[in-house]
Amino acid sequence: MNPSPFDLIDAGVVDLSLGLHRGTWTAVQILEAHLEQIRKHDAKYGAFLSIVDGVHDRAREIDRKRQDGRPLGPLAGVPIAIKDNICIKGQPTSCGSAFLQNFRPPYSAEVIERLEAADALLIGRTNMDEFGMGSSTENSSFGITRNPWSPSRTPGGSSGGSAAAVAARMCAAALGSDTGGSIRQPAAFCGITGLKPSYGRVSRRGLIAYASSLEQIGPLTRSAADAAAILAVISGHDQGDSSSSTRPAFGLDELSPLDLKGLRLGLPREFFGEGINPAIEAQIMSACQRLRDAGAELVDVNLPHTPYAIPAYYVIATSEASSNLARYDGIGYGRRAEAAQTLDEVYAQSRSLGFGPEVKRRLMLGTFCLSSDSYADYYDKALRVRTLLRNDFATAFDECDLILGPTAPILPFKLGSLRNDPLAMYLSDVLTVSLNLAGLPGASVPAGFAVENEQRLPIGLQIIAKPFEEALILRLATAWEMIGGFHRESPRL
Amino acid sequence: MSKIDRAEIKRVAALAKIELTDEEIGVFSEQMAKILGHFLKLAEVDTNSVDPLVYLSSDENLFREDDPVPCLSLDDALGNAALRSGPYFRVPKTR
Repeated sequence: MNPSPFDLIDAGVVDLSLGLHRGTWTAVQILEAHLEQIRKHDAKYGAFLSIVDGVHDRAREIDRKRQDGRPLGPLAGVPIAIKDNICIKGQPTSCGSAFLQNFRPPYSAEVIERLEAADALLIGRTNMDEFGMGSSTENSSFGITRNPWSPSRTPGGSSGGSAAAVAARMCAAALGSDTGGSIRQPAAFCGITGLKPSYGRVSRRGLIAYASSLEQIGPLTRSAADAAAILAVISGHDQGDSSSSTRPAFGLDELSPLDLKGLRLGLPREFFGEGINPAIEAQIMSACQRLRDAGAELVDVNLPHTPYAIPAYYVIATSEASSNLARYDGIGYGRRAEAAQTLDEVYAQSRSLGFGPEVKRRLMLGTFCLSSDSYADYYDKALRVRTLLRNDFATAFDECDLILGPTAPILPFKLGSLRNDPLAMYLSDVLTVSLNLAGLPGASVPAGFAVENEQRLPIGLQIIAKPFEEALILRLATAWEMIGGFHRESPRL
Repeated sequence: MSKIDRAEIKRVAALAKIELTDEEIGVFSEQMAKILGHFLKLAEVDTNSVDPLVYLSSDENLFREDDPVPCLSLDDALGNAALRSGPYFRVPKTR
């Protein structure tokens, strides 16, 4: 019997792979169902920049492997979309930037090699804010992406294409990257699950660098179990990334059911109240109370330096960016200004033609913060405040096992509404950036909806753990799924 | 705090190797003054006895055997260059 395409696009990572191993469906059927969903809907939403060349051959190869009785990897036949800043050998990888429009990486990122070794199907590349710089995916050189729940609104960013693709059932999962919230905030805005791993958990080799001390690659999925399945494949030490941890990779055997009784959930005072949309706060408090009703204990905690997280984050992120993006000189790869006569003109003109306004703005900010007159007041100061932010979390975790709060202080906003106010856009990252500064893992999981202008808009619950305790996050997320059930909701496209 | 006037924007743009139009200089000087003003909120925090946090990892230096391994071919490495001359990247003549 042929599986219905609806079963296939709704199935998710774990069930798709299980069905493929059992012979319920083939990789080609899985691929076709998802490509059909993309053909039907992506002209409207703009989640994908391209479909991976050769993906049909890859699906047939996986099916042949199964027919021949050869062993299949744990993600066999699972269609996974890839954010456009993660290199896939020979495929266009543009980081959402006109500068890299024709760039084809000569090697694949470590995470791509691991997904391929697990027999996953890399289905396509997803839209993003140029170089990851943005919270709305409006800063892409290749057009905007729309929120599947409300097409006049942003899917969030910078991994907005990945989040929209997963929410719209165009793929079972996607990889994103999170420098200051770029996995968690779009996951919240699109009503899905997004996990930013601990710093060092996942190799960054082949991730196009923006702010190297902050960013991590992680999964966007429609359930905690699916996120765990992806993390188990992509995590673990890589000799090609000296900042990747030598701890053992995350393992699925760490995911025993969680007894909520006695679990201490910390609610930071600074994550509630002023500046948080009241509908979001009400929904998050309701989720926390339902977890308490199920046996967990709610504890008030303090993260007193939270008001300084945004300035510390943007000083550090833009400073690192100004150094990392110095590589775009118009010579080794990427755009080159044809009219340039001297070497200096090649640099300056290529960069000016290739970079969009937000990238230029951040490079200017970072260059300013690192210049000799400003270094002490901005960059060095931000690094010291970073220490205090990390200490805040360490102190809070003396009193609780996990920290909960909203992922974003605002609902998915109308496209264009924050475009001319970069500071307002930066301030919307207030609840996510501290984790990147401290290197902590965090997830956003679906926690309900707010209704605005008769549209249901998703709300994300953020779950934060101590470094390398992703397992505890995912176990609580699974327990919450059974209580809340919001992960089963999907947008009508 | 340095003043973010047009001259300062031009100085920073030169350091960042970015050419800005007159219009961009105007927009950026206004926006950067506002953003950098917000960054200065950091001055409220007493950090006299606090060390900077540069590295998140507590891992010691990682070493590996210094054995030769395959690397990119010349054609792969030069494949994305706008201009190439045999085994080299091609750039304008430098003086």
